Amino acid sequence: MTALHQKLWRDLAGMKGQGAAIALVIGCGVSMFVMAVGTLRALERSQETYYQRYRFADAFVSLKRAPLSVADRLAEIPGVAEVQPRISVAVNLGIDGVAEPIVGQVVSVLPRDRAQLNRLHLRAGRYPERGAGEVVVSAAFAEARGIAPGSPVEAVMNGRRRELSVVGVACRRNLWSKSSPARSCRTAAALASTLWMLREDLAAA
Amino acid sequence: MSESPESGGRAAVFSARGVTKIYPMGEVEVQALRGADLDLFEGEFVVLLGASGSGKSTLLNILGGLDLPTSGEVSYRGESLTDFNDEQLTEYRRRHVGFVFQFYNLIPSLTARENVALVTEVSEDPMDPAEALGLVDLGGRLDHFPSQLSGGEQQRVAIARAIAKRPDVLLCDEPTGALDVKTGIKVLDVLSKANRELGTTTAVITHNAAIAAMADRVIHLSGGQIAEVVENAERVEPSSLEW
Repeated sequence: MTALHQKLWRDLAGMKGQGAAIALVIGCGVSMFVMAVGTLRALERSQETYYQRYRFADAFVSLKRAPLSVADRLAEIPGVAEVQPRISVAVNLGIDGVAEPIVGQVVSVLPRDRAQLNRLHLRAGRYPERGAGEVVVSAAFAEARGIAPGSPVEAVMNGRRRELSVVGVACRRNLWSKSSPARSCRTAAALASTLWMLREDLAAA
Repeated sequence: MSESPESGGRAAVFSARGVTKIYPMGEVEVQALRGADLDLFEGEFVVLLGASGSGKSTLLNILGGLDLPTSGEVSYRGESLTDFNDEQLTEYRRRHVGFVFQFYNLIPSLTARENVALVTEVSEDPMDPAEALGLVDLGGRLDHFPSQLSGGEQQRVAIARAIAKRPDVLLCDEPTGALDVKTGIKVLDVLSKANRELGTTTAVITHNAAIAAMADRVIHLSGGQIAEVVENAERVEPSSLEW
């Protein structure tokens, strides 16, 4: 062993306490890093699984009063595996005992057995059925307003008032991409909602 | 390679001509050397004497390749030190020069033997560390750490470290500056012995005029210039010195 190595070992031995403390700090740091990376990967896997299970679409395009044939043309674009047209309508909602106006967005869905993309992740109740004015509401809105399957909701759609029936509570499919602070999220959820309704019913409305 | 100056048949190891050194200190310039001319000859023991600020250490640092002059020429065995780059200066210091400083600069976590080994491990044809420590009468304290040695003993370890690589020149900057008279004389005795037995050209810086008597030549510095060079007819033994 050279004199320099001897010096190195003696100096290290002379600061055992500091060395242990430094090793501990580094160990804690590495552990925290591993935990953080593990958590991030778990979240990413959960997100991926969730999106795969409910066939969350990769891209959304908004068009105003476009004919359904546009969907066929979009499906011809190379790389596009599937296109699902849907209707989105802004509505004003009325709920018993709530004075302030509530705005909502009614989005069309296909029946459960035909839904290929953007399937609803139901947390309570069931998918809406045709012809009965049935809707599924977002979980945050349901929680904020105390709405459960079976609750009536009044909606003004295209200038006409309609009685809707809540039959299910679902998570917003793009929930993972939201990053608002919790309070403002609750407030926003109480004042606005997404409702899902069968496309045929929504088209008829 | 230029011809080395000679004096009395001896070749000059160092030759300095018109050496100046200016240290810029902010807006002020401090001139440490003002055209110093100097020759050091093979195997001689030289004392550089002068008051604080006379330029002794600056001159020694330039001769030892630790610093470069602002202007002038310094040559070592005919090779111009002023033309050396950093790598060449490092090689020059490693192969040819031994340094002894006022404050020993020993590694506290290494024993006397290991402190010397630190140098011998990177030198060509070095002495055994135990042999070098034996030359400075520390053969019985090889495995003592610096904290277990007196100031004089630590300085002797520093001298052993400097001579262990068999340098051509030994440059000592106030080697007795931090020591009492008795210990200082012991250290000077060791330097004198190394000079005689190994033939190492030795230059000792001091402001202690009493030490001048043990030298072959005494070079007086004043105001950054060589004021006087005195050749002693006879070298006095360090044990006879008093101050």
